[in-house]
Amino acid sequence: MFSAIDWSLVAAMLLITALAFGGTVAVAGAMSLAERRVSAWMQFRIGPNRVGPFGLLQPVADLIKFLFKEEVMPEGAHPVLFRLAPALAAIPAMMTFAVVPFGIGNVTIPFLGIDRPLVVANLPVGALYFLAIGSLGVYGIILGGWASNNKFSLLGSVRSSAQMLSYELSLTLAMAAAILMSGSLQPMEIVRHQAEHGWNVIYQPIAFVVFLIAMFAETNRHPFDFAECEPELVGGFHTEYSSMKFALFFVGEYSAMVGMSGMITTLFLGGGHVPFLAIEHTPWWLSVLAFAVKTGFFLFLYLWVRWSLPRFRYDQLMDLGWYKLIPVALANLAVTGVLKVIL
Amino acid sequence: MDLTLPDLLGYVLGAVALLAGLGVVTRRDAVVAAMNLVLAFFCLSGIYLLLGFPFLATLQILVYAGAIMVLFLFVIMLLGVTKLARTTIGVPTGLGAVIALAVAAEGGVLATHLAAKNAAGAGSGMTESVEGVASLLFRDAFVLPFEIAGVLLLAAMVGVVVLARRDLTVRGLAEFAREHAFDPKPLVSSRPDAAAPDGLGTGSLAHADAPANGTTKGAANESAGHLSSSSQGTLAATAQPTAGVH
Repeated sequence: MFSAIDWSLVAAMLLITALAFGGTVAVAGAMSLAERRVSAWMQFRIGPNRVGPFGLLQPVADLIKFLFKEEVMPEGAHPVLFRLAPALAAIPAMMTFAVVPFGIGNVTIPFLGIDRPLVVANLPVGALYFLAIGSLGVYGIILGGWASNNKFSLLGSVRSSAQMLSYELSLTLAMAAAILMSGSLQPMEIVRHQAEHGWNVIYQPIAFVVFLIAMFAETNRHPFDFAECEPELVGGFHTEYSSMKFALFFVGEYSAMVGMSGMITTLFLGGGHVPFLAIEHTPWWLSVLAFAVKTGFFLFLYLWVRWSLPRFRYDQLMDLGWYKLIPVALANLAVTGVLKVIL
Repeated sequence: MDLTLPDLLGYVLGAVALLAGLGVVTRRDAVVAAMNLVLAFFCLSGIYLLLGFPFLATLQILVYAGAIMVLFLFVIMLLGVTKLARTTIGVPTGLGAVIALAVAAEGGVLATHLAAKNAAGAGSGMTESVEGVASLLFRDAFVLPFEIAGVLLLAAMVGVVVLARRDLTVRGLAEFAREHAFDPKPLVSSRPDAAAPDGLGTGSLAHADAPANGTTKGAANESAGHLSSSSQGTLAATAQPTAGVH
């Protein structure tokens, strides 16, 4: 029944999948440390530096602590959905990275002798997959707030999910402009087009800025982090969560940041393309390094913005999303389309 | 018959989709029923993927699971109707089940027929790629039906707004415009009954946001505040019937 399967291909795909998802989760863990170290650095503090060299083992210590904490379930909470919500928040966030190419071209995997592109799934509709899976992250937030049987949680979840739904539109429109530039929904193809014709950030600065702003809102990060404005909503949708379930929400948030940073790199900054270097002359490890540097910059930007800008008010957030970003992104898309036909 | 791995996966997905579909109609908890529907959509998407339609599979998740069901959950949560009334299986339910079975059987026969036909004609390949679907929808075959569907949806949307806000008559609007010619803000506060007692604060959320709107902004933004506060009013109005239910 399984005779027709090429097992070495399966092994190669499993290896790449394990590398990509392992990498996402590892970077997510590192971000939890970077968050505190960078904030300390920006505020002239020292930050956690006790566990391991430079505090590098702090995420491991956090993980062990989370695993041994008591799990509290509030009275009247929905038993199934309360447990399901953190997983629904974390899993789609980790899955978004599947279509992000973390390098250019193919790599021959040693021992197996199989040539694979540097992406988990080279889908012809990769960009749409990213949007589709990304839009599922909102379930974890809605259900987490609702199943907790707490009105602060519910209010927090309504706020966060309304925000995510609103900014998804601008995100999609900005992405559509980049897709129009290269005429393909396949992320690998978008990267290749940029390597040959110049990065999209040069041709599509407006779409780039809209995507950047929407990306902060989509991941519920500062300055749009209404899930966690402590004075009003306690902890937002995860107020009632404790132990590893609470940690899972954060794994989801950091993974979504990794996926978004990878996607903006792919769409606007040429993915793994090294400037002034043709694809044929780029070794695969150099393209992976270039991708990591660009993605790392956006991950740092998340922290940089957090300690530089004040938080928006909720009406300002909705105002910005609906009355400014969407019209701008729409106009940009229309102009891009017209120019694409004329030129 | 030789069972291949995609076949096996297809049967598993189909079985889970059926079970989830049953869950949708049998669960009394509205949120659980909605989540069952999401699961069914996922299984359908997997089946599309196995059949070689990745675009359709992605759209299934993007549109149904990602957008429509999220709005469903919003409505369920805002209305607060979480436990549905217990129903008994009587003549109407039985009749409905029979009709559903008949439609399903018809669909099955039709699908088998089409599959045989496609196998003979080796498929057109048009519906598999994004370009194929786009040219079918926007250029070749279905331009008019597509546009008509768009207009229909718009009409439905306008209808919903009118139904949700019965005070939005032409006369009422003119009166409102005269009264609030330079200050659109009181649209929300003029409806003190808008916040349903157990709408879980959605009404008060709208109230809290409205005064902050446009206090320091120009005239252009005031019209923006007008629009947003009217939509919030709609939201609160939809939450209102809850008071009667409980």
